[in-house]
Amino acid sequence: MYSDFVQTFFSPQTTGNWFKDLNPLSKLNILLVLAFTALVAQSIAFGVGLCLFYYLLAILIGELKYFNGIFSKLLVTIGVFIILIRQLTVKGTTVLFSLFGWKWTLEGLLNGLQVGSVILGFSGAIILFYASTEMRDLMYALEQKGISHTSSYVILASFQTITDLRASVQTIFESQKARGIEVEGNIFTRAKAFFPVISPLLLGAMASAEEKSIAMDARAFSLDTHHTFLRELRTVPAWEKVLVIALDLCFAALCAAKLAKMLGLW
Amino acid sequence: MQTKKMDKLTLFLIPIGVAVNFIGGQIAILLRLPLYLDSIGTIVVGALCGAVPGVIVGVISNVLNSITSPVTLFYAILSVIFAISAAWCSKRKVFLSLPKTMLASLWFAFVGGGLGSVLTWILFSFDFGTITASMFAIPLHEVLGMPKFLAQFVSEFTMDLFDKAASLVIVFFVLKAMPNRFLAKLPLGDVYVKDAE
Amino acid sequence: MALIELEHVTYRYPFSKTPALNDLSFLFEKGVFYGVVGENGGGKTSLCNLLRGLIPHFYQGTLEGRVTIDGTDVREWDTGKLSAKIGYVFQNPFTQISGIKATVFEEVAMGLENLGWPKKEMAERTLQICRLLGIEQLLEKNPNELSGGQRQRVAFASILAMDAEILVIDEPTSQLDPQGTQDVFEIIQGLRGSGKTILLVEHKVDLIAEYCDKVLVMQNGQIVRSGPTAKVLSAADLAEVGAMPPQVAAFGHAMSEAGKPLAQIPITLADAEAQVKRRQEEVQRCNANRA
Repeated sequence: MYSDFVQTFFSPQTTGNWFKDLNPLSKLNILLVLAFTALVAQSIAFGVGLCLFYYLLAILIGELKYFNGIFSKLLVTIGVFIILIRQLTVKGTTVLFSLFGWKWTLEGLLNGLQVGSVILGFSGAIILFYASTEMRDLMYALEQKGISHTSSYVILASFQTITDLRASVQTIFESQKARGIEVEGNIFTRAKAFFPVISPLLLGAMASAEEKSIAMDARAFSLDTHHTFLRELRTVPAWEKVLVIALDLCFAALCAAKLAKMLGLW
Repeated sequence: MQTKKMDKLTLFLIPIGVAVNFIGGQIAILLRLPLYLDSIGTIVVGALCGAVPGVIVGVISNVLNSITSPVTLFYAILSVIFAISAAWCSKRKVFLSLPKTMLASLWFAFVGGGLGSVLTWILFSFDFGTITASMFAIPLHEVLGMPKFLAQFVSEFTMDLFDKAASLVIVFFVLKAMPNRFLAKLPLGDVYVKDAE
Repeated sequence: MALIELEHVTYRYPFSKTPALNDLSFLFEKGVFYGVVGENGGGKTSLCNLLRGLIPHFYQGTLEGRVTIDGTDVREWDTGKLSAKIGYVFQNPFTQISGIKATVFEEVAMGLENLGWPKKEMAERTLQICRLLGIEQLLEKNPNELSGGQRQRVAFASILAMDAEILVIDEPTSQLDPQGTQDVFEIIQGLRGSGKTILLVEHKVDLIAEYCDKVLVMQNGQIVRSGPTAKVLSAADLAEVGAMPPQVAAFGHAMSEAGKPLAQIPITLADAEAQVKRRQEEVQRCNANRA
């Protein structure tokens, strides 16, 4: 009796991919553990291994293009950059090779690789989380855990507001230019043009916030009553809970081992 | 009940604060300004609605930034301090005077650049990390013989001083231009209400 | 039965010297469709804000006099509960979309989620309203990418789905193109006879003439005229209180001035057509008799 589209709301939202269909909070937990493991381990092999694992996971969840789009940029701006800069700042003695008189040292390379792999090992997990999770699903999961639907609204609305305001920046910028506001010239002239662009934008946005609050109020936004959900996620299966707890325990063990080692060194 | 209502307008201003943090940079690019201007929303909301809403704006902004640049997450602590500072300054009427506002930018730059450089320092294993700061820090270190951390600190602080001074001047004028009818509904709006209207 | 009572209500916005509502007294009866007309700044929107409970909770300012909704003073009402009782649609189609839902279906259902409806009822109600308002083809669309007219219809659907007892509708078409206006008119037409108490503020007086049971004329924060639609809108001096008479009423007055008055001043086109037709028949009969 319902169309296919409406029918989708009567069962939990799933994608058919085992990893994507994990509860958003499980995914967050798992990936944060991986991210912080990279920070705690401080190891080149582990960091590089993690990055390769992220790529594998990205392929498995069908988000390679998204993941690689962001990760490859970081690989250049953080990974490659750190390796280069450490050649300048880390004074090593073991010269590996010389590039037009620039002597590359083993110490610099190892230092660069370590910092780079740690930062990328952390970053990849976060990128993968966003690649595999819709923000509204995360908010749903958090609401189930007891955060208010207003918090959830504020975060979800931020995305749309950024899109909306970005569009108005262009409009206002063009119209202020047309009205003779100097947007070219020296840096001070250009800096002065900032205000006539941001001011109407902000005032307009604040007026719309006022209307939005009235409009959402009319939708029983501030009614203190049990909330229901049209779109729901599946209940968390036992194996998922076990997986998450096991990972958390591993992480705790790693931290304990690290700490013991540090204390032992002292 | 009245306070509850006021809070509600604040609530709907939070997404706008977040968006303003993002479009500040967009406008800077349009005007080819070498600035980030990515905390205006945090400071304005902190100044008008108080520390907590400002902190929320700052933290959400950092979380959204982490989608493309995960390391930003660690710098959320800076946004938290910006918001608290903005609310503190606002209550003490700092943003009513341009000279005082300029003076406040020293503190904001100390947080953004100074504390920021400490975070960078730790995150990148106690050595230079980010591209732009390194462009200044490395010459300071190599040519002037400044210690590494100091070089990093000085360059990040100086860069941030321009950014925060510009941001706070914008905040100053934005608050000045805010009509009374908005101010009346905001927790710290009273500070900025103009008599003649 | 009086649903909303206003007694000597005076309201000033913060920082404003002149009152936006000035010594207003009126009884709104249950199930009646009220139209509000009058000049800009006359207090129409302030009246809406008052009935919606936004004055004084949201707008602050000073409110004097007595405002009761269903027997309870507006100042005592819990704003959340009041929002479930009074639906509100206003001018700007863009700010009425939540911005957090990915499809029109979810957008329309959002109010019901907030009211805590079970899922099956929620889906059925949403579909029913969308069918009624002719926006079924939009169900799977992203509400943030719709035109102004489409958004306004979605806003109407979202409010109507919640089935509030009272509807306050403030200039719903003032920001829409002719097609969007036409679509919204059809929705408003459908609200007649729904048993709801409706307050419609609208500049297009022909629409008021067509649909409303009673009309209020506002000027300088006061209700200067009120009564059955035909009586208020057919008054010869309507323009003197800042309200535009319907075009056909102006025609009726012109006929009177020309010494050929119609049986009564028409206020709707259908009304005028019927009277003109009758007049034509009379003239024909006369001519026939003479011949």
